[in-house]
Formats: sequence, structure tokens, C-alpha cells
Amino acid sequence: MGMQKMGSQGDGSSHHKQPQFQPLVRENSMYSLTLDEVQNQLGDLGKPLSSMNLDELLKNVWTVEANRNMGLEVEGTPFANQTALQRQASISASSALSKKTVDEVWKDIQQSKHDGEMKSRERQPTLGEMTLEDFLVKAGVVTEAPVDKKDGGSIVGVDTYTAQQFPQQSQWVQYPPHPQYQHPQQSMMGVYMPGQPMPQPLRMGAASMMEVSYPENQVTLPPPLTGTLSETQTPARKRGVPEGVIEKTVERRQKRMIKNRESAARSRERKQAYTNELESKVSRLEEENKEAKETKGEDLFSFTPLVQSFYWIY
Amino acid sequence: MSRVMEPLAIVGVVGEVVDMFTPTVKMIVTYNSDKQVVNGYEFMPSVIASRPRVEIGGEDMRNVYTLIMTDPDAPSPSDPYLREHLHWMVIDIPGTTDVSFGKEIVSYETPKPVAGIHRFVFILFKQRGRQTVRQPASRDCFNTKRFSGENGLGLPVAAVHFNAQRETAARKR
Repeated sequence: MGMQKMGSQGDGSSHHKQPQFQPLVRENSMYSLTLDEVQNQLGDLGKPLSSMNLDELLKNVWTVEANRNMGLEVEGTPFANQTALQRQASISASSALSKKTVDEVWKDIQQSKHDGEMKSRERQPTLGEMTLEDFLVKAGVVTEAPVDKKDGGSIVGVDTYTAQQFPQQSQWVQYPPHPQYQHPQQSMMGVYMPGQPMPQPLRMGAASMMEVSYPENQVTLPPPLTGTLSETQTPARKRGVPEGVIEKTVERRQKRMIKNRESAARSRERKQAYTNELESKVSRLEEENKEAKETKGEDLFSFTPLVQSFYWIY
Repeated sequence: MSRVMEPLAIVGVVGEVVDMFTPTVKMIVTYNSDKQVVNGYEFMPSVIASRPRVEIGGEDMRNVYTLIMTDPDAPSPSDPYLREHLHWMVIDIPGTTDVSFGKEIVSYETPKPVAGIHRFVFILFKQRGRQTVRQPASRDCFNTKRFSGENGLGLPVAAVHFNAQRETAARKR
């Protein structure tokens, strides 16, 4: 795919991870298709899109996406499955929303638009022309990241921290190209997957980066690492979260990320230093051993004249 | 860089605590009479509670050495605003002997790391002469490089480090 998100070093400054939401919005993702196109993609489902409830819609979309991804890349396979499962687990948690049909949700959206809060650029004349992503955002299934906050540098290497938990895998995780950014995180998250509900997407402060990023993974769509989920995850927001709060949260999160990254780097250094030390020691001991053997050889020979002289006396 | 120096450089001891140097004097640090300090090894706090045995080389008993033990990760490695914390200082140690023959001008303080995994570094300097080293003002915000400069110690002749963290944190791993 055209985006290389994963080609980065293990330590510190050269990290360039793009925000989670980017790959989903771009190529190869169903989210950027309009709902009409999505309906085509989903093929014969026996029901028109509009009368599906959200649960069904999402499951279908993910299944189709997962199948597509499996075909694309062998490595992604186990994780595509994981991804699908994870998403299902998470989205079904918001049961109130998921049981509504697409049609009902669309009516809600239009209703709220009439309240005059939506910006004009997002107005969609018909449901079918709206992109899947937009629809889900407006439905309140996920929240959308503000465009200007997309910053490849600031939302960095979450999986590096998680990768630290699995050092032998970390190399693998960082380098292979994926069509979806989430895969490495899913693999890291694999152990932590079961049973964690969708809420608390932002547990700053005490929460480890693992915990923060994981629920965001569940919120499949562009979960804004930028912190618009500062309260609860359910209602979609274009309003209600003051700019100041968002920025502080972003800052805190970034600081946490940096701290984590440094901590991970120190951990790697410790490991490497100890390994080096042991290698030196082994090599020194091998040398000593070799010399000891050679020395022993010489001593054996030097004993024989003495033995001979004893016999001579007798 | 010699192979021996790599571990010290990798963890930043060379760099943050001392400058690059060539080790010329043997130094063996042993806790509990059987646990030798090896670069990068992690000790439980209980093991390092009392001062270790430190044997030094050098060719001549007439040369005297200073041993410093310092923690550059005080109070925590992610925010070491008290760097360095001085744990121990022994001066006038005659060559080829051990620290018990020197003068302990800063007594051994048991390491008690609260947050994070700390590096603890032993550094050996060759003194210009006897009684050329003065007791430092405080343990906090100690600076080995500066202290060396102030007391004419030059570059280290030996160094080794280990890691330690809070006992409860260490046991969980």
C-alpha cells in the first residue's frame, strides 16, 4: 500500500508512526467508500443496507475487510482475524446504538443537523452518498479526529512500548509493511484482548500506554489519539469538548509516550549491556580454558624424566 | 572502544557519569562475599545493603586510589533531578590492596531506589598523592566529573556498574 508506517528504529527519536486512523481512511479501506459502494461490496446480504442494524452492518463490513486483508498479506492473517474479533467485541458493547437500523440512525443524524450544529462541508444530501466513515462518526459509534491534529510525529510508536513486553517479537513487529496500521498493535494486544470493554479510552496518568492504546484499537475507526474522547466514548462530538481540555489531554498523552519511549530505550540498553558483558566473559573464559589445557599438556611431559630416574635408581 | 568499555557506554555511564577512559587497574567488587558485580547485572536491594569488598590492582602499594560509588538516576531514571547521589567514598587506598585499607570519608549508604531501575556505579581514580582528596559537601547533586577535576583525579582507571530497583518491584519480575 502506499503508506509505510512501520519502518522505524527501536529507539527514540527516529520514530515515525502515523496516526492509527490514517490507513483506515485511505486506500484499501471500506470506510472511505460511500454507503452505496459499501452496499455493493457487501454483495448479496439478503437485506438492504438501510434496514440493517448497526451491529450487522459493522460485522459485515469487517468480515469483508478481513477477508480482503487476508488475501493481501500472509502475515496479516492471524491479526486480521484478531482485528475482526476485537472490533466485534467492542462495538457490540454499545448496544443501544447497535440495535438501531441504519435508517433510524440516518434520521437521527439529519435531525441533529437541523439543530444547526453541523458544519456545512459535512452535509450529505442522501444517505447513500455519505461515506461509511462519516456515517459511523455521525452515528456516534466512533469519534472523528480533527483534521488539523493529524500529526505523524506526535502520535508515535505506541507499539514500541508494547513491543517491549515481547522483545523477541519486537523486530518483527516494527518492520513488515501492513495495509493496516493496527496489526502490530493487535499482535501486541493479543494477550490483553479478551474481555476488555470499550469504555475508558483515555486513562491518562496512571494508565500505561498499553491500556490507553488498546481501547483505542477497539474503536476501530480513526480513534483520535488526540483526545476528543476525553469523556465517554458513546456520543459523537462536534461540540461539547472545549479546546483547552483536548489540548491538555494531548499534551499529557504525548509526554507519557515520550517517557515510555525513553524507559523502553533504557530497558534495551540494560539488556544489551548485560549481554555484551556476558559475551566478553564467555570469550575470556574460553581463552583461559584453552590455555589451561595447553599448559596441562606441557606438565605431563615434564614428569616423565623424573619417573625414568626413579627406575634407574632401583 | 575496547570490548570492556562497551557495556558502560551502552548504558550511558560513560557519558553521563564519567568521560571515556581506558581501564588500567583491576577492580573487583563483591557483595556478600560471593556475588561479584558484573556490568549490567541486577541485584536485589537486600544483597547490596552492606558495603561490598573491593579489591584493587595497580602495581605499587605506594600509589593510592579513590573509590566512589554513585547513583546517577536519583531520584528516578526518568527524571534524575538529584543526579548524582553519592553513596560511598573511600580515599587513600593503597595499590594492590582493598578498600578496608583506605579512609572512608563518606560512609556506605544502602541503596534504596524508590522509583525505576537505577544504575549504581563504582569508579576508581588514581590520586596524585596521599591526602589530596577533600570530603565533598553533600551526597545529593554530586558530580563525579566535577569532583575529579577539583581534586586532581583525572580520568578513572576502573569502573563497573550494576542495576537495582525497589525490592517489591524486583520480586514481581
